[in-house]
Amino acid sequence: MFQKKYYYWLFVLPSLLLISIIILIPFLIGIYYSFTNSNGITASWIGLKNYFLLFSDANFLQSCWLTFLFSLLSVAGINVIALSFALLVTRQDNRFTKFLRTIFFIPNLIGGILLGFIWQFIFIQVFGALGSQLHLSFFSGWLSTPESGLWGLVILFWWQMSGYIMLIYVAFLNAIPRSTIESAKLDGANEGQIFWWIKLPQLAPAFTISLFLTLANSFKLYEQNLALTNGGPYRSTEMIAMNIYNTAFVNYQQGYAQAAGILLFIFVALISFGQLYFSRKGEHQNES
Amino acid sequence: MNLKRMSLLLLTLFCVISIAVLEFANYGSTSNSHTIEFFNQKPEVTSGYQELARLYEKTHPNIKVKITTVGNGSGASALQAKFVSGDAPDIVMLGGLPEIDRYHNRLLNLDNLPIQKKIVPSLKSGGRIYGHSLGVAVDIEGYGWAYNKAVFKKAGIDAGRIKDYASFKAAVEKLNAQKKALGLSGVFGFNGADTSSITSFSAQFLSQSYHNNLTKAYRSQHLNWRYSKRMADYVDLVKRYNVKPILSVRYDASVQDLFFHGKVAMIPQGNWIIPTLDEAQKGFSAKNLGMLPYFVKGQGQIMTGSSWYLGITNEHPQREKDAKDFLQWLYNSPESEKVIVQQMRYVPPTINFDLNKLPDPLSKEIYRIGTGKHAQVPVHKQFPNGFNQEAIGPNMQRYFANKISWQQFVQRTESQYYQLRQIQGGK
Repeated sequence: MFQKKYYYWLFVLPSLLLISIIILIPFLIGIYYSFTNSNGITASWIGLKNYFLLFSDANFLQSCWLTFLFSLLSVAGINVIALSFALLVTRQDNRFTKFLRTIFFIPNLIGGILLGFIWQFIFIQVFGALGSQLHLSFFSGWLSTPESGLWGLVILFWWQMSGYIMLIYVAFLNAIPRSTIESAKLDGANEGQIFWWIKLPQLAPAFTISLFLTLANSFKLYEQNLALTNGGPYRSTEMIAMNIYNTAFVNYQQGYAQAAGILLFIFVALISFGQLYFSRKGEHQNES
Repeated sequence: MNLKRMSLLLLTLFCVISIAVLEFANYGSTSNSHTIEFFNQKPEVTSGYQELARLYEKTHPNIKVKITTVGNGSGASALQAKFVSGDAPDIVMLGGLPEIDRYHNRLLNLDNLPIQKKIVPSLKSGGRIYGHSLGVAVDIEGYGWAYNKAVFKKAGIDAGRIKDYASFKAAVEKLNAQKKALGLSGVFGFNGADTSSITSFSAQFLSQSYHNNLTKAYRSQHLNWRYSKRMADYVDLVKRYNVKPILSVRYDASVQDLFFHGKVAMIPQGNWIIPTLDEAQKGFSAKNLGMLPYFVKGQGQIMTGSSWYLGITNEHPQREKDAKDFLQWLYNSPESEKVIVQQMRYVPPTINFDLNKLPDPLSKEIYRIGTGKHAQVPVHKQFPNGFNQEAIGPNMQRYFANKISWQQFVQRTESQYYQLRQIQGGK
């Protein structure tokens, strides 16, 4: 009995040590700094002042709202696109669908900064050229207005994440027993009915994973934001991560930025837990 | 499950790790040569500094020079990380007094450095704080309207005749009238997407009242908007005759595409665009690049200043002398001069430099003006941290997009400047 316990800790110790050093301790220090007026070099205790200031900081609130809007658009869009992709590539199993899988996944292999620059080129140069050739005002002036800046980010993120989420859906679609689909067919169900009543319920766990992944990722988005719009025009596309980074490393208001970071953490944690809780509940209901 | 074997395995692992750690700690201290670390915040000249390090190592066998480059906005955070972790570089490149002040406790007093006597006087205050010189100017940069000589010539405009705002405006209108024939997408290629260009542009109208005293500019609690009317004239001119939409124009595209290919006549940049242009086509800047001043009060003149200053940290007393020697060499030796002037295309910040050694006419002109009696240094590097990205940049963009009036622009920048100074200056 003693030995078993001993082994347990022996194996857990290295990762525990690393997690403490890299995540846990800095996190606790971070919480401490959120109660100071740290500028990165000196810091003194100011209590909850940072948190009070945050709730009246128009720029911060604007960033929160923007991030919320962005998350909503991207979570919905990515999951719809990814599921469609997944259905498309699992319809048949041949070279073409395999090729498609690769194509859809490739954007995910490109780093965020590069993606940002690629899409900046597309939105400004390519769209601009299209607009002037075809005389369509829709294509001109992308990224120069708050709306097109936000949509630019959303489209970029759809393009990047859909392939990845598709893989998750593909894995779950392939795990659906063929016999259920076949028996539904024998009973005279058409494609749509098979999708709604056979496939969709069995995809519930995939939804949980995908929603969680896209939501968490869209809240933490930074590089794409930096490379594509850098917050512009006039700070209208500055998402929350970028707002925090700029407060910390451009303005050097690091205690203040830390407080914003803690708020972001609480927010993301709440959403994630809430979502997990409800999704799990939904899954269990389906199973029973 | 064999406990003994397990422990033996773990013990070996620990041994390997500790040996590795000890080895690593010893690395560098066992040899008797010194390594000085140079922290560079200008990525575009990294190869130049590496070349300089190589040259210096050749003639100083005991010294190694390590160039660390972090730039494009993340330099400030990387530098802080280095200072806080106790791994401060020996020589640091710092941008303006806000950054120098931030690390002033960690920087050596450079008052008695011999090269100080050679530095152009108008550039000195940019490295001075608390009565001491903590930084040495890196180069002389010229700020004005970079114009494409070929485009001007084709349009029949003699840049030498542009002597005041009225004649500048007339030239712009003349260019615009021939837009089609000249193949222009706009007269100006103002990159409205970049807050940094907006900031250096604004310095043309905000610097006059400080009379080259950058320390005073850094201490000032208010923006001096005495010339806001003239700035509005220029901004409206840009707004009207720029490539549209102005907020989509970005720095790289404006220099490498619009300006280089003659699709615009002017961009609000300085001589830092020379290496990019000459890389695209050898000799482009000598043939095609000219610079026009802004006419703010009376006779206009290109502004000249240094965006970056070199400081020496006081964290490694054993290497202070090496760092000072390296700086001395950097500003004094014929070998370094060749790389700095011909490869990096800097205009040197030292007096009595032989003009003939500068490779193009614009560099010569900037040197002449920068070392002249009436040199005027821009103050934008002394603005509070974040003023550029959070206040003047976005508000100018709002004005470009017709979201606010000029009156609002002036009021907002003024009040945000004051606010940021209050937050950051509170010692």
